[in-house]
Amino acid sequence: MKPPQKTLFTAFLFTLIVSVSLIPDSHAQVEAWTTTLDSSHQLSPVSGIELKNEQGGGLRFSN
Amino acid sequence: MGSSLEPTTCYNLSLLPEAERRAAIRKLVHPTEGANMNLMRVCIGTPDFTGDPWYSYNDMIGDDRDPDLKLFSIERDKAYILPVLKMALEENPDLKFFASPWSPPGWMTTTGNMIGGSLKPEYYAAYADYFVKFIQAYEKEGIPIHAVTIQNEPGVDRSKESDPKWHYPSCAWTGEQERGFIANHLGPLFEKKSIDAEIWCYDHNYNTKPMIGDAGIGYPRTILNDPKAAQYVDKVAFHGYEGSPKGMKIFHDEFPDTPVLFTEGSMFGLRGAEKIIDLFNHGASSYNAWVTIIDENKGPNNGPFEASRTCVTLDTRSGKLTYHFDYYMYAQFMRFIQPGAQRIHLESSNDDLPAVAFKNTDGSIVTVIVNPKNESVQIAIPTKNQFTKMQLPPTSVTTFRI
Repeated sequence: MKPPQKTLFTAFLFTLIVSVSLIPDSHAQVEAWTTTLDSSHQLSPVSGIELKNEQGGGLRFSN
Repeated sequence: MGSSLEPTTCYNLSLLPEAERRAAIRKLVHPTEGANMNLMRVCIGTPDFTGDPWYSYNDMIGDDRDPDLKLFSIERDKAYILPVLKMALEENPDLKFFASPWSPPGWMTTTGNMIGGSLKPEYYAAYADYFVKFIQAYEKEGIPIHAVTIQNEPGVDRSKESDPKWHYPSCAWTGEQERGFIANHLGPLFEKKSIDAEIWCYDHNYNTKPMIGDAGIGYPRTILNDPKAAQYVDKVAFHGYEGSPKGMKIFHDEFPDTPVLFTEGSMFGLRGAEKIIDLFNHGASSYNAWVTIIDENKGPNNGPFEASRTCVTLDTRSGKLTYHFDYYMYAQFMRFIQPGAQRIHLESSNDDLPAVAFKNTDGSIVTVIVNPKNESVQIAIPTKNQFTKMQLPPTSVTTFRI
């Protein structure tokens, strides 16, 4: 792989606008795979991905 | 990203019937049916992980010398190493190999053998030619060498160990010595012979302060600060047995035009996935585990370091391969982050979920996230004009592609 794009890498304070702007319309679809420590999932496709038609935040996490 | 096809792994694969061997190799390197290991480390002569006696491609008896390398031969690699490499290349034609020596031929060193010492100055030219002959011989076998490192772990001189247990092939270099070797011998010879293999310097730990046996980042700094040597150096290789990834980041900030690589170090469990993320977030442009398949006796291995585990193990009694969590954990990165991907900034509101994101050359964005918690966690991923919610299972590594 090439080294990180310096402008993005060094600008830690870049916000979600950067992230969102990197995503073209044609890729506005999410696929996911997961592996769990207990081996119940091994590169398993993740189901139940829910799309919401509203402006999202940056990559954010919530419990 | 990838691991190694060193003698131990190649030997274990060679024990399998051909169809099973191919299936196993496919699971390692195939881009879609396997883990997509696409950068594999191979050895120039013997490493410590081998069941065979130590060897180089130009071993001499007694006081004999062969500075013209007339007796150079890769014949020994034809037994079980080259067949595995060829099959790997068939399963993934985009697979790249980088190669590292553990020692020059013994007669070139100050100890007269492969257990430590350093390269005698009068053999610098011959050793440069040794690299050229290795690359040409492998090329002739259909194995292109993408890059070489000058010396695996150049801070190590195992001849200084009083316990013979530690006497395995090694050769000590200083940054100044490697600088001179590259600037005056290897680089010019590659140019003269039209060898397009990259030169990756250093190949040892990223500690910031020099230690006995671990020179640290001052070593490659010495090389890159010399324009004559630096012109031939494509990348700088690091291991992680001393120091922290911060050392690699400090170095990369000093030399931002030279990519830094993580060329040796297996990672295990969820913590291992977090460490790989940490390496990428500190500037690494690649990741390579070390030793891919050991048997039920953790071998074959004539070296002193016990492989605590590998991502795949072979039970030689039953011929059964077991793919451990770490194999799938590696694949969560390797299958989806394509060569040429650029790391992009990722902002998370939860520092307890380590993550790293890349933009692939096809425009897709890949994020790998570790959930070390014993409970599932919901995340929200922004896409154009909408966002996506998904659950990360407890104690998991998840990759999503947008």
